[in-house]
Amino acid sequence: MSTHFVFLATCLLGAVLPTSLHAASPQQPIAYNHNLHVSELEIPCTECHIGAESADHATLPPKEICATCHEDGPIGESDEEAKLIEFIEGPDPIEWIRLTRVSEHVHFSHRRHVKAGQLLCERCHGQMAEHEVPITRPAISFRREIGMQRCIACHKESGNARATVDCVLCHR
Amino acid sequence: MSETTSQLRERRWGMVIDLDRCTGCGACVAACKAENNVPEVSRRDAFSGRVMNWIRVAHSESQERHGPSAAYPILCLHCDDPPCTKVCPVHATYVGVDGIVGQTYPRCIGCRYCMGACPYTVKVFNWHEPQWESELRAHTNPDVSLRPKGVVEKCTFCSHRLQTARDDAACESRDVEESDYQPACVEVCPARAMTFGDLRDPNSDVSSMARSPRSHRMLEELGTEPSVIYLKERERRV
Ligand code: HEC
Ligand code: HEC
Ligand code: HEC
Ligand code: HEC
Ligand code: HEC
Repeated sequence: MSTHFVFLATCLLGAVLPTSLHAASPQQPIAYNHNLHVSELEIPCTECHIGAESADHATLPPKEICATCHEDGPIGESDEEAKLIEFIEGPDPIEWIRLTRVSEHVHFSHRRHVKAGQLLCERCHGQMAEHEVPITRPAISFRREIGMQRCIACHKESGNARATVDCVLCHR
Repeated sequence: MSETTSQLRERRWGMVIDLDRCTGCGACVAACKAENNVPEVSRRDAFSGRVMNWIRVAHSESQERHGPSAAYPILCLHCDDPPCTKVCPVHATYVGVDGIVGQTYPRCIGCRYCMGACPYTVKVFNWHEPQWESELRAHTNPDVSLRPKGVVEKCTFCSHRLQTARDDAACESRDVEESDYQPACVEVCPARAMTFGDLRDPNSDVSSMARSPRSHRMLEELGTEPSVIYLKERERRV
C-alpha cells in the first residue's frame, strides 16, 4: 500500500516537475545566435536593441534591422537563416517573445541606466554575447526574477546620488 | 560634475488653484481619470458613495447673484505633515521625493486607515478589480499601473511624469525644469486656474502666488501644511 503510494507520488512528481520547469521556456520564431553576431561579427548591442540608450525599453529588433545584412540572399547555409529570409520576404513581422520584464507598477528606464548611469549591459544581463541559442529565462544576471532587492542593492552600492531608494521614483 | 547634475535639486512640488478663475467645468476631473487609469464604478457603487476620482470639484451655492465661482477642486494636497501616512502600518503611503505623498500599491494591505485619517477625504479604495470596456482598456495609459482590488489610491501629482522628467534631465546632464513636469489637470485647465511648480524656489510662479493675500490652505488650522494652495477673493473657507 505505502510503496504503491510512494511509487504513485514519484510518478506524479516526475510528470509535473519537468513540465512546470519547461512550461516557461518559449520557442522564439528564429533561433537567433547572440554569440555569432556579437562576439564574432562585433555588432554593437544597440544596433539591434535600439531603445537601450534613448528610451525606457531596449526593444527587440524588427526584421528591417536584420535585413540590412540578410536581405540579399543567404550568407550561410543555416535553416534558421532560411526562416529569417522567409520573414524578410514575406509580410509578417518577426514576433520575438520577450522574457525580461518588470511588473507594470515599476518604472525602469534603460536610457537612464545606460546613458546617464553609464552602466554596461553585462551589469544586469550577464554575458548575453556568449549565448548561441535564445535564452529561456529572463536575462538578469543575479537571479531568475528581477526582484526589488537587486535594484536597491545596486542603487545603494553605486555611490551615485541619483540612484534612488525612494518608492515614488520606481513605483507608479 | 556640477552640484546640480550629481544630485537633482530637491524641490517641493506644489499647486496653486485660483478659485476666482475656476469655472467648475470638470476638465481636470476627466483629464485625471484618463491620465491615471482611474476606473469607472457601477451605478450601485456610485450610489453607495464609492465613486473613484483623484480630483473632484465641490460646488457650493453662491449667495450673491453673479457671485464669484463657487467651484472648489479638491485633490490630494500632498501635505508636508500628512495625517494619512502616520497611520499606515506598512509604509505604503509616506512623504516621498520632493514632498510628493506616495502610495505604493503592491505594499498596500487595504486596511484603509489612511482614508479615515485624511481630513480632505481624497483617498479612494478599490472595492473591485478595475473594469473597463475592452476598447477603453486598450487605451489606458501604459505609464500608470492598473491598481488591483483591495488597495487605496489617490492623486500622485502625476508622479509618473516626474519619473520621465527626471530621466530626461539626467540623460541631458541638467536639472528638471518646471516646464518638464506638469500634472495632467494643470495642463488641461481651460481657465488656467491651476499653476504647478516648485514652492521651495522663491522666484517660481507658485511661490509668488502662494504669498498673495488671497491665498489660504484648506483646513489650515490642522497644521497639515498642504502643498496645494487656494486663492480666493471672498470667503476664505469651504
Ligand atoms: C551586420 C550584419 C548582420 C545583421 C544586422 C544581422 N546578421 Fe545575422 N548573420 C550575419 C552574418 C555575417 C552571418 C554569418 C553567416 C554564416 O557565416 O553562416 C549571420 C548569420 C545568421 C544566422 C544563421 C547562423 C546561425 O548561427 O544561426 C541567423 C539565423 C541570423 N544571422 C539571424 C539574424 C537575425 C534574426 C538578425 C536580426 C535580429 C540578424 N541576423 C542580423 C550578419 C548579420
Ligand atoms: C543582430 C541583432 C542583435 C544584437 C547585436 C544583440 N541582440 Fe540581443 N537580441 C536579439 C534578438 C533577435 C533577441 C530575441 C531572441 C533571443 O532571445 O535570442 C535578443 C534578445 C536579447 C535579450 C533578451 C530579451 C528578453 O526577451 O528577455 C537581451 C537581454 C539581449 N538580447 C541583450 C543583448 C546584449 C546585452 C547585446 C550586446 C552584448 C545584444 N543583445 C546584442 C538581437 C540582437
Ligand atoms: C541596470 C540594469 C540594466 C542594464 C544596465 C541594462 N538592462 Fe536591459 N533590462 C533590464 C531590466 C530590469 C529589464 C526589464 C525591463 C522592463 O520590463 O521594462 C530589461 C530588459 C531588456 C530587454 C528586453 C526587451 C525590452 O524592450 O526591454 C532587452 C532586449 C535589454 N534589456 C537589452 C539591454 C541592452 C542591450 C543593454 C545595454 C545597452 C541593457 N539591456 C542594459 C535591466 C538592465
Ligand atoms: C547595476 C546597478 C543598478 C541596478 C541593478 C539598477 N539600477 Fe537603477 N540606477 C542605477 C544608477 C547608477 C542610477 C543613477 C543614474 C544616473 O546617473 O542618473 C540609477 C537610477 C535609477 C532611477 C532614477 C531615479 C531618479 O532619481 O529619478 C530609477 C527609477 C531606477 N534606477 C530604477 C531601477 C529599477 C526599477 C531597477 C531594478 C529593476 C534598477 N534601477 C536596477 C543603477 C542600477
Ligand atoms: C529602485 C527601484 C525601486 C524602489 C526604490 C522601490 N521599489 Fe518596490 N519594487 C521594485 C521592483 C523592480 C519590484 C519587483 C517588480 C516585479 O515583480 O517585477 C518591486 C516590488 C515591490 C513590491 C512587491 C513585492 C516584492 O517584493 O516583489 C512591494 C510591496 C514594493 N516593491 C514596495 C516598495 C516600497 C514600500 C518602496 C519604498 C520604501 C519600494 N518598493 C521602493 C523596485 C523598486
